Amino acid sequence: MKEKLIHAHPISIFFFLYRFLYLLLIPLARGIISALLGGPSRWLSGAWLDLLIFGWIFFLAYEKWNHFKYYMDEDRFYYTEGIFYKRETWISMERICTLSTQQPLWMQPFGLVALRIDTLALAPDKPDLFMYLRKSEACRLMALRKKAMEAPQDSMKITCRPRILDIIFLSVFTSNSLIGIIFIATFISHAGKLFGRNLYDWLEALLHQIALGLEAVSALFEIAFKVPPIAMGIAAVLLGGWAAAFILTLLQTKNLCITRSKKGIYITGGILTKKEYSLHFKDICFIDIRQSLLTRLFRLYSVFLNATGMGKERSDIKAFIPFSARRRCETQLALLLPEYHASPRQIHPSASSIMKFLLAPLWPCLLIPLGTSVLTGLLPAWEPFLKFSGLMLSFPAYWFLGVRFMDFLSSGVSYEDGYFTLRYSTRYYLHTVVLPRKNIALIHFRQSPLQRGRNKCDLKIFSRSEGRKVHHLRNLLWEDSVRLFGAEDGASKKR
Amino acid sequence: MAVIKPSLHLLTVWRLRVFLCSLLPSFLAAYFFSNTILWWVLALAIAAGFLFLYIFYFPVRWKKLTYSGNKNCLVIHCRVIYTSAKAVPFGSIQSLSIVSTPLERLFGICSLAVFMAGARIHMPGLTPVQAEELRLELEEKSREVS
Repeated sequence: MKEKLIHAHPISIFFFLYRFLYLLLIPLARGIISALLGGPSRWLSGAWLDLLIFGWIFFLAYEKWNHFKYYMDEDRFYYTEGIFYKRETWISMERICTLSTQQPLWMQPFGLVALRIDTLALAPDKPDLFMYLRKSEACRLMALRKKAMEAPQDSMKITCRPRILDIIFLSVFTSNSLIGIIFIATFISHAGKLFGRNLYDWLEALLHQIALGLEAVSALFEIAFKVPPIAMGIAAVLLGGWAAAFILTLLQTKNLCITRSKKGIYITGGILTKKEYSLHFKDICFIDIRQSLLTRLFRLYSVFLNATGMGKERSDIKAFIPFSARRRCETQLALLLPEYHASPRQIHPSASSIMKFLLAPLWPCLLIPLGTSVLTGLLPAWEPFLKFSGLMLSFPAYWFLGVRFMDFLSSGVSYEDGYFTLRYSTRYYLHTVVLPRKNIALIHFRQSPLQRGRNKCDLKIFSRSEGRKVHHLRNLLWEDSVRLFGAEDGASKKR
Repeated sequence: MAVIKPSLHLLTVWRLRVFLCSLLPSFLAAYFFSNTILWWVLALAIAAGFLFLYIFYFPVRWKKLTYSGNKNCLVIHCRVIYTSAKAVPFGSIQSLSIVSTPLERLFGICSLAVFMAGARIHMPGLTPVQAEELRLELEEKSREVS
């Protein structure tokens, strides 16, 4: 096997450089000492040391690349690394949860692909192995993995391509304005460095023109609808941010294609960054049918997959089934993951629990308008600004109230055929999680002094997942919950 | 699986630990604000906090702490103000380790740490024999399930 070992792409040398950058502290320290003691002539006389260190850094990066070799067949992935401290690692193909490749736009001209291997071991926030390869080599590894994942008589092979409309819906509803604003800001700040001063100046001029246009529009709005200019400014920033995030999500998810075989799932997609994921069916941690208040009202559903190695990076594909109507979503889910189906609620909060759900969002809903009216009375000169701020702050508070009300109506837990279905909300999202029993790591039943009288409890379920995941269900009956999760014991009876 | 109560020495360990922890703020308060009203306030607050933990909180916490189980999972009852039960399915146990601090060793007790993929729990106040027996039992049950 050792004669078949292959090097990663030579471009990896440049990525290994950063590991030895700390050595630059030596020329820096020498420069400071020279400047303090002897001036430029003294610094120049010792410049050979700096050059030697630069050369040493490049040499180490080259050696790091030279010592990193790998081999893969249908049974295992083997790699060796280390210049001074050598390490050989074997990963059984069965133990690889996700093998994925990504090819962002900048890699495409070089024919370069980033490959990631994830297992259950090692740190959850980092892949077990990350390397750069030629595209042909990455395709060969993916084909090997596919071959290893296919059973000899694999009759089950289903391919699903979501409609473009579903992906547009997904981009519309999941695009976060803040991400868009950060993306635009980063793009503008880096534009000068990336494309030269001319483009940066042009972009600056363009933004100036847009600002002038917005100023004119806001003046019109102010006259017509009495909307303060600050409101227009914030709205424009949010809208621009949302539009950028929308395009980004669309480009990340476009061309999504999911193929299910007996043992695994194969996902491809993305335009600017082309992505491929090959994951074992057994390593799926859970599925999350996620809805916002708006999509709940429109009866739209989207399914997100949580598996070790998927969703590690922001640019990863997370949606398994983009937004679809209920029937279509159920059909697709039944085709691709028939084992994962949401069962009807068996335990749910009683009608008297409503305040447990609404109390947290009710405070801002009452206090923000109250605070606004008090401040308006105290500072009449600031009235338009305060009223606008109050309105802007009230909106997410009332939205949250709506989400919590929907959560109260739908939350609960059930168990069927080895799978738990958990219905709960986190912030502005409503979740329906289908979780295999074997993937539950810890069940935490927690009863506050207020819940003790009615024998209710909150459930926190820690599940095996990509990263740490806790599912929080509110105000369920203690006994029923303990019974459903099979956690009765001698000490509970005495309680 | 039988119900296990942690050793009474655990209570002494907790009390000693909080005593040692209260020494530093007491010293700092005395050093910076000695013979001022603030020193009196801080000294009283530290003493009240210490007495609350010593007389009320730790004994109740010890009383509530029990380890038990059934055929599916290990169950730990804990907490004082909130009533809490933590259930660990045997199948999810990845590894187990016995750990002890110098203070715990002084009183002949140790803790059993249970690691799962996505969570971990500590079971303090076990004698070394109890911890070893429990470790073997959990390992066996974990193997049986998987």
